[in-house]
Amino acid sequence: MSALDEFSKGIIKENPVLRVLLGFCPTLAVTTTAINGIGMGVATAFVLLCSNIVISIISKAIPDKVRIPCYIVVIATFVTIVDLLIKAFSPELNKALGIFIPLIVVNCIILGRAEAFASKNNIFYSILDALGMGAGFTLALFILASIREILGNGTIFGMSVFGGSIPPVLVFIMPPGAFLTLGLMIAGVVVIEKKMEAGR
Amino acid sequence: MKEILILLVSATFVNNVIFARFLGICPYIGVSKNLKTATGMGLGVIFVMTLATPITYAVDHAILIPFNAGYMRTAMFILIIASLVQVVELVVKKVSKPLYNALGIYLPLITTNCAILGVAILATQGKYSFLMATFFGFCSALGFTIAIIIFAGIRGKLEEANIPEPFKNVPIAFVTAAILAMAFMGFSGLVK
Amino acid sequence: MKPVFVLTLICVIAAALLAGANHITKDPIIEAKNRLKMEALGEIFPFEIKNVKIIKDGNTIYYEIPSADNKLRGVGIETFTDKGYGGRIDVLLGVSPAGEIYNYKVIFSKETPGLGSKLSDPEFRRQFGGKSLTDGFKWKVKKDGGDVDEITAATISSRAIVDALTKGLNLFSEKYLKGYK
Repeated sequence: MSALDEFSKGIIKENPVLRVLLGFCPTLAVTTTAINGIGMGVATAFVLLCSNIVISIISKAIPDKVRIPCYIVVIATFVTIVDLLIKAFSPELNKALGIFIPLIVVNCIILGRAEAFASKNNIFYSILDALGMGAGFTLALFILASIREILGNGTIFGMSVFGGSIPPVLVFIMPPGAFLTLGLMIAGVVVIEKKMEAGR
Repeated sequence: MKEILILLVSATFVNNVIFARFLGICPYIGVSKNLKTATGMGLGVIFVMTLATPITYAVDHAILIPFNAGYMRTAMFILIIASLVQVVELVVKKVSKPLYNALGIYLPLITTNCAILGVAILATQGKYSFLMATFFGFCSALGFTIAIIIFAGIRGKLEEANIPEPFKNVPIAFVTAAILAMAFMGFSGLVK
Repeated sequence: MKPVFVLTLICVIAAALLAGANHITKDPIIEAKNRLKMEALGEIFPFEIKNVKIIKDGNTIYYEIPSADNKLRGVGIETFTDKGYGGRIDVLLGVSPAGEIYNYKVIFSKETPGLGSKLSDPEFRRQFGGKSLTDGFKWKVKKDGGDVDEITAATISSRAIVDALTKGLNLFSEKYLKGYK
């Protein structure tokens, strides 16, 4: 598999949220505004990149028995560092993402990539894998958050879209809107995939 | 007494872990295909969360806060939860064979259930006493269990329904969850 | 023995890294928190915020804002209510030394977006400007026979904010306006 494939697979073909169906909790919880979606995506991608690098380096030295606890410690360390950095340099984002920053630690995408990819591949491919998966995760969050912000609040990045002429559909920024939009997005991806297969 | 009742309603229904807090969505979607697995998972979560919340709370108040090491919370809590799940698995295996058969395969999955860690962190933020924090953990888990059992019941019926091809399985599950979340929104404002 | 050794080693390295990260970010985090608070104070007072004195009394935090000649010009009070539609609402209330409201800011709430969240709308907040506990303003929503225009379809949120504001004003009176009954 070429280097480009390692990177691009995470964005579309194996998109962690829309195709592999992992990491739903932050996806649903923080996507009330586009900026929060991007913030969460980038924070997760950063942790994923760091943990993939470290794990691809040290995995040979780790005995199989304590593999998972070791990975968890590595991931938790980077999550805490990200948490501290966000608190220090973007308290607004910290307030918006709240408890979901520490919860990156249990985001199945990160442990999943550590176990399925970084521990079996060299550092170069692990970096590409992390960047691709991180980009795919951020993209999914950004799309979901944009849809919810535009429909539910009538704004995008805080700027008014309809100029107040259309009242926003509030339910989209409330919990049901999160479930509904994500469900429709996953179904949409299935349709697109079917179309592409038929066209081939 | 009133305080306990308020916490019960608020943690179980109003701030339901699934529908209001978005914690534990992965197992909620993943193991709700039939009632049996859903009940097993639900009971496992009740068991682990009711144990994990007081333990993490105690560690937080006895070690992390006095030593000003709040920044270690995430790492400490996840390790405690991971070890706790292992211990619970061993103990359950020794003590009760039927219980192990019922819960066994769900226990490892619970480590990465963000509801456990999420509720543990929420309990330390919520200014609860030790007993109330434990009760908060139990009620939150109860909310999870109620949500997943209702959901599994509906999904069982969906199996026989004629669903458009792209919506089969997970997408229709999310649409169903959206409608359930709407129903649970009816609980908000119940606790004033 | 090897597994235990490796796990311990990784834990020790992780702990050291975290302690380092904590050390580096400790001051910026405190600064960031303060900056947010000062920005919030800047929003609720119509004058410049400088040399704020932070006073902790019981469970309440007061921010005393002096004027250029070092007289008390305004006081910010962290007040709250548990009676919101979504539970707790934290409010930063700004009052004059005479106990009249300048403005307030909702710091934390889980009120319904688009309904209860209108508590933060300038049009709603304006009606409290200059009001105090002693000027005859009836601190109840109109539905309950008071003077406060409630937000349509968000009566509970409106009642809750009245509760938070009167709580804040009472705290202020007890501390700064002695002899007030």
